[in-house]
Amino acid sequence: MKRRWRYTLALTGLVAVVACVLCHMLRVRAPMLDGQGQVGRRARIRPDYCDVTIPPNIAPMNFIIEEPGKQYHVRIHSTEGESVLITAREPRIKIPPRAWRKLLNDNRGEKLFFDVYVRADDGHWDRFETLANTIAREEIDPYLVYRVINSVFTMWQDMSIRQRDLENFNESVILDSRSLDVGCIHCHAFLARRPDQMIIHMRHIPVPDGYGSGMVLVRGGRVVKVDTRTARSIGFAGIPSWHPSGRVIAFSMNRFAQFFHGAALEVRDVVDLESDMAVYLLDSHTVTSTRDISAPGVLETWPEWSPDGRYLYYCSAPLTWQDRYTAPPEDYEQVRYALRRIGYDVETDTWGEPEIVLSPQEMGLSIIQPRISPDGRFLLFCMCDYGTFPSFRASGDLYLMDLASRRCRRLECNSDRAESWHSWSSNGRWIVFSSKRDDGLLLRAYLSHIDTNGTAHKPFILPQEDPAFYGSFIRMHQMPELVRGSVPLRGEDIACHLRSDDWVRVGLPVTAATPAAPTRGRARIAP
Amino acid sequence: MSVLAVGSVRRRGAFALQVVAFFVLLYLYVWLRIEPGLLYFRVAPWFPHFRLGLPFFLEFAAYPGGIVEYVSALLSQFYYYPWIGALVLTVVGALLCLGARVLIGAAGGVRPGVVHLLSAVLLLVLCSRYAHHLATSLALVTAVAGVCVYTAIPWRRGASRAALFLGLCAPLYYLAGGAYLLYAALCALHELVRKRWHLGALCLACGLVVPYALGTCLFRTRTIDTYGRLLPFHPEVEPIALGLAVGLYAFFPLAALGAAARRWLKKVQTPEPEESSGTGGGAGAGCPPEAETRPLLASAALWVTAVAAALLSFDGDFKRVLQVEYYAHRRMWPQVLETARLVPRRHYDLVVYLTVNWALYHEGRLPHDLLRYAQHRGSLLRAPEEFIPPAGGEYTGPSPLTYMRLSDIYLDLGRVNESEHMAHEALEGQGPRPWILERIALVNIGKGRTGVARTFLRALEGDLVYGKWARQRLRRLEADPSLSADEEVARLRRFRPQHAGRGERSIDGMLRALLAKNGRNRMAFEYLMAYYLLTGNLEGVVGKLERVRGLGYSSTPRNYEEAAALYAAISGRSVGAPAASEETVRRLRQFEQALLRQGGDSRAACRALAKDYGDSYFLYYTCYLAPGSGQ
Repeated sequence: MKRRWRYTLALTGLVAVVACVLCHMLRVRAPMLDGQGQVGRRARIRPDYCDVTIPPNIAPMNFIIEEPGKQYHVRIHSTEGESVLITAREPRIKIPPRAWRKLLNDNRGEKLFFDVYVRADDGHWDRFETLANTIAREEIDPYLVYRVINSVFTMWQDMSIRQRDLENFNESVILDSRSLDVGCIHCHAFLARRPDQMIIHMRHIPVPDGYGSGMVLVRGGRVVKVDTRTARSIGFAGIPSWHPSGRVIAFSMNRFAQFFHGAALEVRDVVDLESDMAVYLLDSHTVTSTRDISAPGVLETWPEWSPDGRYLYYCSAPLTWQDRYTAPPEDYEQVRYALRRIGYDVETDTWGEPEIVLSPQEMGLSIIQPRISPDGRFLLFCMCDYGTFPSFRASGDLYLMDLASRRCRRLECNSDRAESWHSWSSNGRWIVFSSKRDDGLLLRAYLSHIDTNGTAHKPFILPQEDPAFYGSFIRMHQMPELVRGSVPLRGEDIACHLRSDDWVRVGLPVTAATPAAPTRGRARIAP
Repeated sequence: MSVLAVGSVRRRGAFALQVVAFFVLLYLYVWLRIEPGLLYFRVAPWFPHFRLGLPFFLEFAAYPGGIVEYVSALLSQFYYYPWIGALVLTVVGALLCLGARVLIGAAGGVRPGVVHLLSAVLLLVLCSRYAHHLATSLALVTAVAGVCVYTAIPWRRGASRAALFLGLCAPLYYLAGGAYLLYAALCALHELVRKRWHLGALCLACGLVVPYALGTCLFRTRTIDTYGRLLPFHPEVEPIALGLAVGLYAFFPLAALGAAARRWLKKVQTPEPEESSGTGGGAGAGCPPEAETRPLLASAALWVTAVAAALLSFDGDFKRVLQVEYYAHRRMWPQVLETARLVPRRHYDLVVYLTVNWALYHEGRLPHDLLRYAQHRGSLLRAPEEFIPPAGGEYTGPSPLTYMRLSDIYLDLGRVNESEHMAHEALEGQGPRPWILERIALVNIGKGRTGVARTFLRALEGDLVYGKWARQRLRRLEADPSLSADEEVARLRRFRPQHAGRGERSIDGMLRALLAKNGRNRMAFEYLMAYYLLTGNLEGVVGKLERVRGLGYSSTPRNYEEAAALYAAISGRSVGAPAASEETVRRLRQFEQALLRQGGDSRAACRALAKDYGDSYFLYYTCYLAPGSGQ
């Protein structure tokens, strides 16, 4: 018996010694930083988190060091607090969330430095020039809602609207197209970035074979499907904008048609063969409009309410073709949209006179996707060489107009590829937009800080827990919208309503409401 | 050892030998006749894709049944290697049989003879129909394994058994999804036949409550997924497998019920103490003479059933369609054409038409043998614009496989944008199958968008089969981002149009533009001529005949000559060199005379002439294209 114990003890000891030796051999050693060689340049890192301004509440910005080496060390530091030290055998740098959060929180408005060290094969450490970023004082809205979709052409099957907690890496599905037996879900929008007031549009096979198409309102704990079509509608509700009062939703009705280029780098293109706009009055379940935003010979689209609710901004272009079903029409490359606005009184449902805010003739480009900052000071919009879909045009860029002076300029955060689908944070200090800058095909969500002067700082890609995430992510983050909290209803909470037959039908036809509302002068364009 | 004991050992040995033989034959049959490799290349939304890595696993771990689906996706990749695929299916069959044996033994108190092997026969039938059922079958294996554990643990106290059942509930539901219902049903059956009514009721109640609590409330799945995921009738399970998979699922409760009924009958006829049951050797010592012959009869019945099931359920025609696809994937052109000849006309869909013509081109036979295979106006190629729904209209496109075949053809032609377009449509329809990712990467390298190519190649890195290829390609891209030395990439860049006019949205517009850019593009020429032939554009054929010499044909291909002769005969104009040969003109006259001899019934005439002129353009033009041909 004693002998058996002795053997057991000896074996245990042996195992312990071997384990210790292995641990010692495999441990990641902290670098001996004295006497390291200096590399006279910055380390290459992916994603590009260098010279960017970041929110103090953003999730850890993990990255990959694209330098050859057998060991990596990163020191993240700022003015206050302890440095965050990361040592790894792999070039993937994953930052501890708690330490990161504390560092950012303690150093709002300060610089944030990444010291990068790489251990070469011969054992010595190389130190690269410090990468510097700036921590903004202003936080970003904690949630980002976007559509995850393939780079779809004609057929769509697999898409979902998801929300991402920007303060960590949690992502959850708000609605998946598979829960509708393959339906299309799109154009999500919120009432003043409130997560409990949401619009989604769904497209499905008409009832009774399918679930139908229309606008889905998620208000508090209620989900309502609204068929906004009237006798005079040209189609289903498309791009929406929720009036700040919450009582009215402006929407466009578009007859989009796709066509394809045989030689261009971007294969896809879209033309809006016909479009009108209208408003849905939530209290009375009626749809009204005015001839000024639903004229027969004019394309009107991209509605956006001003934060005070007194104006509806939109884009319009003359409709020059007769055939509204064949794409592409003859002179589709000549279609350039103007930015207009029209006064609106929500109390009386009366319209003002439309006016041009920015003319395509002056800009030489098509003006689309207007989004106004929550304080009403800036108008962020897209311009591209023609048409209404900037994400398919490499020329698509973001511009900012100071609504007080009506001066506008191209933002600093643009690339030579398409930028589009932008939205503001609640405090007006952050924008998010979809960009194809990485490869020209796949849309990624980028965040950029807008300072008080309206200057956009160098944008950075939405951080992911796995820094190599985007390297193999063949899907896209489209239509990113910043919201102030987590969307309370998700998945089946919404989907089961969408599969029901309960459609709210608007009973009244589109009518031309009366004019009367303030107007202002035309825009002045910065040189 | 007594004589009786020796007999028992022999019987057991013979039985074991029989079982081994059964599974060896099953394996060989699946490997060599069914060929799981065909399933790998079969484009169906039911065939799962798989990627190595934690994020991919976590996608599956997020819902009940996901783990089994993950394992199924992993094992399905091995279908690429037919012998391993066959092994996977055989092992699944063996596990089902083992489960059935334990279950029947527990229910009937005796060894089940060969009845349990019927579950493998049912699996064989599923395989013979080329249904992809691995996830459903693995879910069944998981559920049955749970029942085996439940029945094997000999706790008798009600509370213990209830705890055992409940303890297994959550993990089984999480692993196997809706197949858990079978577990609950079989456990209930097990208890009810033992007259433990409360336990049986508990099992049945839990069958309904546990999925609701875990699926609907915790994982927030929809009702069909909560109760139906991985069951045969779930929408994501292949419809052609529905009846067969239901049969496979039903086999277990029916077998258990049958065994329990047999036990009860035995008990009624010859009452014996409870303790003796389950310990006997079935047809054991001191058995009557019929007990000696019964196993033999049962074995014979099993073998007859298995052979009959294999023969009757085998879908040979569908296999040929899948073979056409398989060979096309591997660019085995002679085999494509050989197999396509055996495919019945009713199985000819657009993909088969496209594939046959594609193979004919690669074999250099398109201008000669086009009409040796079934054709129609649209069988050569489709323009991407044809699939665009009308503005505001519903999408009604072709099958995802059609898109990928069109992408193949456009790539070979040099229409890179169209190939990319079709590949993206296929991606949406089929999911990220490896060859689609490979294609999108390739066209983007051709277009100089190496960033896109890298992303798709990295996505492909995690694939078990194509991962190595993707890594090699990525290394080459790192070394030379333009891949200028790559022959295929150079060809794409040479052929790719730099400008595309409005007229290039039609098939002939695209093909003419390719020829205008590169007059040596033989594929564009042959496709254009074939398009003209199939659409009856004789003038188009004649107009392009002069290119024949420049493209290195030794003589004018027969179908072109026939079209030229027809054109001359119909229009009365002479055809410039190279004109139709005298032999072709003579053959046309013979055809006309033969047609006249057939009288006024054009249908009957076409049928009669098909024997001698079936592969001639005269017949195709007269019987299928000419106005009023009605065929």
